[in-house]
Amino acid sequence: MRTSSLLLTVSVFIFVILNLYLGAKLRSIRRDIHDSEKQYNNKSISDSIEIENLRAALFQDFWFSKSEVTELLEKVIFDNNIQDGIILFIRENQCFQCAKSIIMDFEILQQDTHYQNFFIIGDYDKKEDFDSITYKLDSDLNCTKIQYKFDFPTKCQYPSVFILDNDHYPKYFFIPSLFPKLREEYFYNIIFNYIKNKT
Amino acid sequence: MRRFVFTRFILFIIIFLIFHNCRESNISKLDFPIKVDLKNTSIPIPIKVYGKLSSVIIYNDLLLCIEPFSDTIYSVFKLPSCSYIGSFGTNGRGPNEFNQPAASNTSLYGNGIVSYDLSDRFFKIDLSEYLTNKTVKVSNIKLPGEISMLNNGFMLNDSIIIGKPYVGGKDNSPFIRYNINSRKVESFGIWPDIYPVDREKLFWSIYSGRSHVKPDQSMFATFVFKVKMFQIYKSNGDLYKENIMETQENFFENEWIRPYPLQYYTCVRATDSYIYALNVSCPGPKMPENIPTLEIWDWEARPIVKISLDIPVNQFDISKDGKFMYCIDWNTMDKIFLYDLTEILN
Repeated sequence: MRTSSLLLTVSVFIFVILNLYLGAKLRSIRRDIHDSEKQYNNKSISDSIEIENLRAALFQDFWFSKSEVTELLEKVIFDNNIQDGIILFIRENQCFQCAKSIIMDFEILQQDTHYQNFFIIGDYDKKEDFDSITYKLDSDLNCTKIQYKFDFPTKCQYPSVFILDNDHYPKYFFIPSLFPKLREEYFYNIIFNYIKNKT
Repeated sequence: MRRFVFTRFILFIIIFLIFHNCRESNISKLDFPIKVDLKNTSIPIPIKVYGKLSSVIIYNDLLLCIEPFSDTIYSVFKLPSCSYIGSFGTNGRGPNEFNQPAASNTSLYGNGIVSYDLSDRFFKIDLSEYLTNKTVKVSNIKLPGEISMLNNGFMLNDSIIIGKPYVGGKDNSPFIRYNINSRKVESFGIWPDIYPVDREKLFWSIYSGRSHVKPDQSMFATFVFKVKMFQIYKSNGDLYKENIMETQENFFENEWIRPYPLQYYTCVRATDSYIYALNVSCPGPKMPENIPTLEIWDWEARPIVKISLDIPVNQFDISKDGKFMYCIDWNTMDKIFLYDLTEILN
């Protein structure tokens, strides 16, 4: 009798403990599922923003190659007998720090190669807004700053870089903030070698 | 007897389950073998300490008081008397001018100091001729865009090291290193294992801190603001030691860190023997009235001395021989405060 009541007590204890244990486990699993769901949602939001940016980047590259745009760039840039140039293209409301970081790479390239044909082209409504941005960039870069309203049809969060060569067609179009792993290769191999071949 | 065995069995199960469900903790309780109270001695100076973002740094027998928002940024005092001998550096955008340099992140390097400013310029100031002709030489170091948005930056051997955040890092590591000679950029370091990876986007904010290089350039230590912890790295980037001593309760509010969390380490200095860390352990707005402690650790991450100070010290530096602590507080514009550490370290 005593053994059976003892066994019953033990069973009840074990049952209670198992219940608590399973309850805790269930709660932790629920929490994990909730976190995963949240992570999945965040990931899909960031993925769709990235896809949108990539789409805009592709379109921008394509748009720069259109004949009327190249003619426009020719008119804007090559007025002063300049035959080629490396361009930072920045638009209203784009990531300021990304533009600043591109300028920092331009500064190192200029310091190493003494290449002078750097341009900052701003797709801005008002010249004052563009002047304010270039002032805030506070750079030692020796470059030409041009404001022009391009009426660009897509929106990308990040500024872009490309080369305009003798033929006046954009080459090596790149958005550093979209492909951070290729950044070093782009600036210090592709652009550096391009400048070296020019000078 | 049998009931006793069963009771013990059940207790064992309960204890096992409790431990099994608890997250393995890597927080260690470290106690300082020596704890002392110290009284300061104040030294009158001309009114040169204006703001809360000021700092002090000692180069040989010169003490520099750095005022990033002042017209003249660097005031120089001769040690040990703290007699004022001159000032240099103006805020501006021209040659030899600075755009609000990061006072607390200024560190010694070569014949002077190294720092960076709001325009992401990393610059060296050569002070070797200051005593003879009151002139300094400023040289800028151009940085690649990958390490823009400088935070917790310092120089170690031939590299500039930056703590997160920076734009366009190659992977999610706490540090990025730019070798000035080879022009290589690489990330390194290990995030502490305290918070789960789904908080990863907050890591740079949770674990941001102040670093200081060992004068022989073989290591550096990073003390964290919002977690009571520090890491010591070797100069090649390998994590050498890590001490996690305390985390905060209710640290998060929804997806972000709660407003005004506790701040721990706000100023770090080092000699070849010891690391000196100012521990405030209070929320930011309370700092001007809070009296902090100074913790002294060795480079093996062992606790040595904990000193209770007697004024709300803001920033400090240690004399080259490690015997004196010169500091400024949050409220006084015309005094430098001195603590004598000779007895304690003996």
